[in-house]
Amino acid sequence: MATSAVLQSEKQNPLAYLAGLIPGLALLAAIGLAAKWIEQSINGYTKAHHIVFPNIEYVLWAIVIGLILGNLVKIPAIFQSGIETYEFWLKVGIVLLGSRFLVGDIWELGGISLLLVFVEIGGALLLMTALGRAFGLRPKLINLLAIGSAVCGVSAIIAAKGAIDADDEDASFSIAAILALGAISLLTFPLIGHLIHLSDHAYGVWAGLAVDNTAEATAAGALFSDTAGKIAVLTKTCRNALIGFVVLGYAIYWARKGQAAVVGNKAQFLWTKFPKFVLGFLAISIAVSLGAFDAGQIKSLANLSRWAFLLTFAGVGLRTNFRELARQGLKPFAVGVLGEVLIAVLTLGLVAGADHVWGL
Amino acid sequence: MAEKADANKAGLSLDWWAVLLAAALAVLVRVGVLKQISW
Repeated sequence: MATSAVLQSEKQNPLAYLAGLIPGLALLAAIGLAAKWIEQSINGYTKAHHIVFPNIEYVLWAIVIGLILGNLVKIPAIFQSGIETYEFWLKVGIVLLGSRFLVGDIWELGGISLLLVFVEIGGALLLMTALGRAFGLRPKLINLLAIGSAVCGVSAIIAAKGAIDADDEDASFSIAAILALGAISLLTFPLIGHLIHLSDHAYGVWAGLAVDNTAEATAAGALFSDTAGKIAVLTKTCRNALIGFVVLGYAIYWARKGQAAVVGNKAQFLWTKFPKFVLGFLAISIAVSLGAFDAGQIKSLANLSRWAFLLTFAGVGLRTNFRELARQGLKPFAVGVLGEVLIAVLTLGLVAGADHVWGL
Repeated sequence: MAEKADANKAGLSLDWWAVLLAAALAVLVRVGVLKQISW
């Protein structure tokens, strides 16, 4: 979001831009390291005193610390540009996570995920559209909510906003709703997953299918287990890869109604909307599959990915502002909540079915 | 994501920068400059 504005200013003075990132980056790192320290301290204490206590991952602590700071303390402007890099670290983390997948795994798991993603996208678009109409929301707001919940969260909404010429207000609301629902899913998904005894793989696919924003899907997966986090990222990446097709469909629809610009070169449009970090993820996976790295190096790459995600999770907490979300109005939010609950149930059914057929 | 790419007309998009940094890290690990990164 604001990262783009920051990137533009980077062109004017790259050194000043990089220096401006340091305070916010230091804050992300401090929160992440504090979260890691809390996890290790609790584990150390409970082990030393033979106390049975569930392991609470650093992910949750990072988000909670971020939420507390972001909502109770006014963070000075000097930190903002660095905090906004959390999305950049998410992408770096995803590319490096490619080292933990052999191409064969991606082919197999990605194939199943892609199949489920098609069903999820179709179901989510239909559901959100029907709910939006039933509640009498504006057509373009309905579209943005449908795209955000079906595909790729905030990125999809930003991509669609330009393509269908939607209002800023509708886009802001849809983004706020998706982020609020993402925050709620962080608390509920791991609990539900444990309650119904989902396997790491099944849970990871579910989180990747049902949680809308990539950062939250990654965190929701990692909150369950390391393996679940890995699978959630793969599934979510499959969803992200389809962003262009869905946005193109809506762009053509609104252009035909004369309410958006006509899409000229469709291949160019798809390439512009395609998330390029997916290519990096695949490239690293191919390099690992070809034996370019030894076991120690693969472990180092996987750990670098974890460090990148650590900064991401701190940023997720910091940028979730409850006051901002509460200002957005009740009716569209109700549509979002209702739709997301139904999508979560639908995708859980899909995952259960896939688990039964393919044994996830 | 893509909108960010559009916004950053003078250079690479956020996605490509992320790919470049990850690739650079992978090369540093491969050639042994970055060793045994722990977690």
